[in-house]
Amino acid sequence: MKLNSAFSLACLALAIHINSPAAEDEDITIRDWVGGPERPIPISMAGFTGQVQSILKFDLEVAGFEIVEPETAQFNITGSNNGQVEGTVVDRISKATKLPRRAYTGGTPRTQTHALADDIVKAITGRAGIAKTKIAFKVESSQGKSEIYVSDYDGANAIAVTKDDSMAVAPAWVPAKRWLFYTSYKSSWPDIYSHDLNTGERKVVARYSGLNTSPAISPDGRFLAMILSKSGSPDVYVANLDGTGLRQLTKTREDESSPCWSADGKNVCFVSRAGGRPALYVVSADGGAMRQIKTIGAGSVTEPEWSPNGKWIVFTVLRREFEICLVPAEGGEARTLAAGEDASWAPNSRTIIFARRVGNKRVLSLLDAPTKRVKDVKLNLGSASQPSWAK
Amino acid sequence: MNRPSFLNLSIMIGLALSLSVAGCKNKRPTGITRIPEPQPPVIDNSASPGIPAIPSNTSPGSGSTLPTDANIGTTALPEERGPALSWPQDRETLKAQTLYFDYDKATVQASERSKVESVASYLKNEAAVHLLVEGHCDERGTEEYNRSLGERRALAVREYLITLGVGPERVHTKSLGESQPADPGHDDAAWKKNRRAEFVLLRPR
Repeated sequence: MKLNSAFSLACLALAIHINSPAAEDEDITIRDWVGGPERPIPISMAGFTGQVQSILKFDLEVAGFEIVEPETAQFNITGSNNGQVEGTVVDRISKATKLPRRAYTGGTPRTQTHALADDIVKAITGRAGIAKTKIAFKVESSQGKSEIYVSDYDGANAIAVTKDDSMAVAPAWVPAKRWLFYTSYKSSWPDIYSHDLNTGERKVVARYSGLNTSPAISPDGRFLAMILSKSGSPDVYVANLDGTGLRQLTKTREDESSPCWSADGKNVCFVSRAGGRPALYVVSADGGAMRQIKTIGAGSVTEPEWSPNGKWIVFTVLRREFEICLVPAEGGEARTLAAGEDASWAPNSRTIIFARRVGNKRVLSLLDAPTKRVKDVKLNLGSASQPSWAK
Repeated sequence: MNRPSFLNLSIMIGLALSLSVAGCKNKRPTGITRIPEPQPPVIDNSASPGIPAIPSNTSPGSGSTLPTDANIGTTALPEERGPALSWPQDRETLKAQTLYFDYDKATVQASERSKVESVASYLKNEAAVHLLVEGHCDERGTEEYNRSLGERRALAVREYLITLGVGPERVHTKSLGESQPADPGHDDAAWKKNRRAEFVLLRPR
């Protein structure tokens, strides 16, 4: 939009101001992403130095902003990090203060900066930030051996959860808890473990004959979906979190993989090779027939994850390389977002973490789905994959 | 909005005034946000004792589990892992019988059947021995997809052994997905070698 004078600019801002039911909306329209491409919001940053500056820049770029010169920015962020992190956001055009100057005490410069980033995202877009969230992932320690790690969403503060010198894979969070499920070959067989990160208590919840893998916890934190092969074929099962109350949801001859839950916890989406090629299917968590979710334009699809707002299913498609794609939850045209595999949604239903193969190793990357901007997670741990975003 | 009305103009002036007032106030922080103290670090499990017993409902014949023979064309595994799985492993004897699969397929190809047949006749002559079939995949699939596919491959071999007269209770399966390639390369030749099922004999002590 090109406007000729400050006068007409101010009038435009006013007009929207008057028509808008919520005065603080100003000239920004807060709306849910409807799937189309969006341009990054241009912002400027001044007054921050060193680590605080680089963390803030990372957080805001992942959130769909682009750092530009002050005179071309839509919003000017100014602040400081002398002793404590402080910041304010002003709309460059309307001169309206989007975020009154805010200061942060306690924690570390890193946590203060993440808090400021979340406040800036909220002030400008109305959306909840994700800078204080956690991820879990698999790190390959040597050929055929791997451990589960947790870290901040940007890779900082990474800690090993398992130290079994075995193969631990497929971590999944219990929503809103410091509690993980994963598969480990610790007993030399693939079993599903529950691991409370507060107490360190670890329990086996599934160790049937054959394969026990791909745990996924329902949004209400009450049920576990997983893959078991004890029927003679890998099928989708649901149980209570302690493994009791087991129900078999699929009974195909071919294999199923990677179950995930719908936002309302009523359905489970998974991959089946029942139709020849791997495709997405949905089944009610209470049982019944499975029905296919169309992914038009994407042939062999794997590793689905339902967005927390219920609107999207993100998945991996193998073309010439792996690609992260998206369909509306009811199925439809597949939209390609980035090159990579094994995606997991952030709680904001907008940011996605996934794995990318670089030479012989994998790295984790963050994707802002509407702007398709990608940034790598900073880890120095070797090959990292199978990310799961805490929700 | 080319011709602003007088009303809009006056509101604009009012807004400009209020903004400049707010601007003066904004020199000092208005909101101090206290960052909560970090939660205790993830507790190390290294001291965690042995794994407690599985809940009782997982034993055969209990509660809500559907009949496992509901799957058509597959033979259910024993509900629990038996003692044979801790017997010493012999990976050498049947090494030459390692069989290979087509890309993204879990069916035993006609060209590979003779290998399964020779494994079946070996097992008939060694009645006390159990067999572990390990399923593997190439890297052209996502990790959990490959873990299921590897298991399906091992189970396809097991089904074939059963049709050849081997007792179902003697054949166990394990999927390693794409985690243990036979060839670490990233080309067709390597992938061919990695889509495989390996036979491991389990001999009673």
